[in-house]
Amino acid sequence: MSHENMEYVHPLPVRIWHWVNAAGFILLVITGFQIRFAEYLGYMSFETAVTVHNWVGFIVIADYFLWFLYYFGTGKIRIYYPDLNTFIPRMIKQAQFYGYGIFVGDENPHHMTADNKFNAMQQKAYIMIMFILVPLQLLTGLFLWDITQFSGFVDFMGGVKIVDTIHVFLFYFFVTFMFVHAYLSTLGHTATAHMIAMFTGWEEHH
Amino acid sequence: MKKKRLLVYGLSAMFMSFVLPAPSIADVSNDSCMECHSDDSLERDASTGHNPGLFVDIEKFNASPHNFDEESCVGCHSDIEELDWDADLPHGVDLATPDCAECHDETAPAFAESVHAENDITCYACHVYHGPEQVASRLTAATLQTDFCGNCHVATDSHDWLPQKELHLSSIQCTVCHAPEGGTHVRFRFYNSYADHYLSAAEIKAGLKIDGDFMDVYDADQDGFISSAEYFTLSQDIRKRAFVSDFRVELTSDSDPLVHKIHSDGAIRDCETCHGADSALFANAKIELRGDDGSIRLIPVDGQAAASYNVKNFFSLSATRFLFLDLTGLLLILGGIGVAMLHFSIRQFTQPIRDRRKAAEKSH
Repeated sequence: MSHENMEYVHPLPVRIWHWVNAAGFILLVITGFQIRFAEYLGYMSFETAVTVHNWVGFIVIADYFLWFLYYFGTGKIRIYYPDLNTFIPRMIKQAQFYGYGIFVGDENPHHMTADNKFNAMQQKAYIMIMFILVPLQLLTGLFLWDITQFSGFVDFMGGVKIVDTIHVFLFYFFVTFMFVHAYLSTLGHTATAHMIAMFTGWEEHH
Repeated sequence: MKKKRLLVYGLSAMFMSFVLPAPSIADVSNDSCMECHSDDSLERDASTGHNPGLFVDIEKFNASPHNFDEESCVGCHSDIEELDWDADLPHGVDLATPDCAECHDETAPAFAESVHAENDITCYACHVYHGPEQVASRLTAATLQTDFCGNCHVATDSHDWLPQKELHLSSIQCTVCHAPEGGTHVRFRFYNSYADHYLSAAEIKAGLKIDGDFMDVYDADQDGFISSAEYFTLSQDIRKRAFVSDFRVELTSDSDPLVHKIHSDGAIRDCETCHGADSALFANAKIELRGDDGSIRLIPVDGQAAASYNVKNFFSLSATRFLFLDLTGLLLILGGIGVAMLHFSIRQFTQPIRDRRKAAEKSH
């Protein structure tokens, strides 16, 4: 396979993390809806839903550590840090592109490279997601898995209902994120370019 | 004069002996029995095959439902026909085991169908003779598990299939799942979590700073039921009056004879039985006010109160099912999909603009 005009942007650990996380999130969403709306939905028993949700939850937690160790271990975590000097104008430019430029055929102001993978809007979203929202979701999920064992943390957060409310709200957020994320992945130079790159690691330059 | 008085007394005594029944064994007061049985060293020959201990803790008996129902020692030990105070032992030594079914005629058939009856377990193996307790309807799940069922069964050794095993075992009485025909309610107990102490009715009144009856204060519409709104007032008062208490809530068996029908198999294992917003188990809820004498008063309360934020140990699936959260979630998801679809549609709609621009760039 020739990699002319191609750039290796997604190393193997990142691709493994991404797809394990994606499959895990899908299973967590399916079982999560069954758990929360047990009396309306019946596509699996509550017991199965809880068991699968717990197991997959732990896989996703382990997967998060893969992401964490890879990015911090290699120092590549820098790609998540916005350059504070240029961040705001770049974000405005990026928003203008998605809100207008993309419709009239303007070039994407951001050019993906291995060291500069995310555009300003992605940086803003992902730094929030990977540093705050995902850890919060994993932690609240862990606490809810065994409330008695983690009762000290649960009480500190204001009781199980607060913990559950955070978990459920983030659950809705991540469901939304998955739809928007899947749509945005079709905005490459072809509809499937970004998705294929997430499997092969190589993104084509245009 | 003296003779006349003696005659009157004599005739009166004769008359009374006809009118009043002769003293029967049922008239033997418990005090008579306790003359001997309060001695904690009183024992009988173990070779009789009976429990050698003959001591009766009258305080335990007095706190038992038998005493509240004015049952006496000889009410159960009905084969004691007379007390002969002149003999070495005032009554026979080989007394029959009391037949609880004589009075507990609704409990007996339920018990007969239980795994306990199958294994020849006696009533007093659980209920303790001479100080029987109404076990399930009075005790916390934890006490029931450790001091009663726990005498024979170690709940934590099984139930591995159960998610949140420890939480379930500490907030659901064994009988809720293992004797489901007995009926269930959600029991609210005032609890000081700092002191790890369940509060008595007197402590609750003192904490809430109320003078009158609990229901006179909190049952605003005087319908004998604490509605959600009335429960909210109670919750507010707990905070406003700096009353160090929250609620510990448990699934508790009703005081029903069928609670004795413990199944050897067929215990509830469908999570949905409890874990649904419309679960019947949560429809029936009661606040417990326990008197210093051990009496219990149960006040009906709206089951949805179990989902309130001052209930910390108990978690039904409906607990966070408040409309705002789910509505926010729905709007978020629909909004996300909507924005993506709108963006996609505009892209489709503007395709000719991009095509024209591309063609123009090519021609340059």
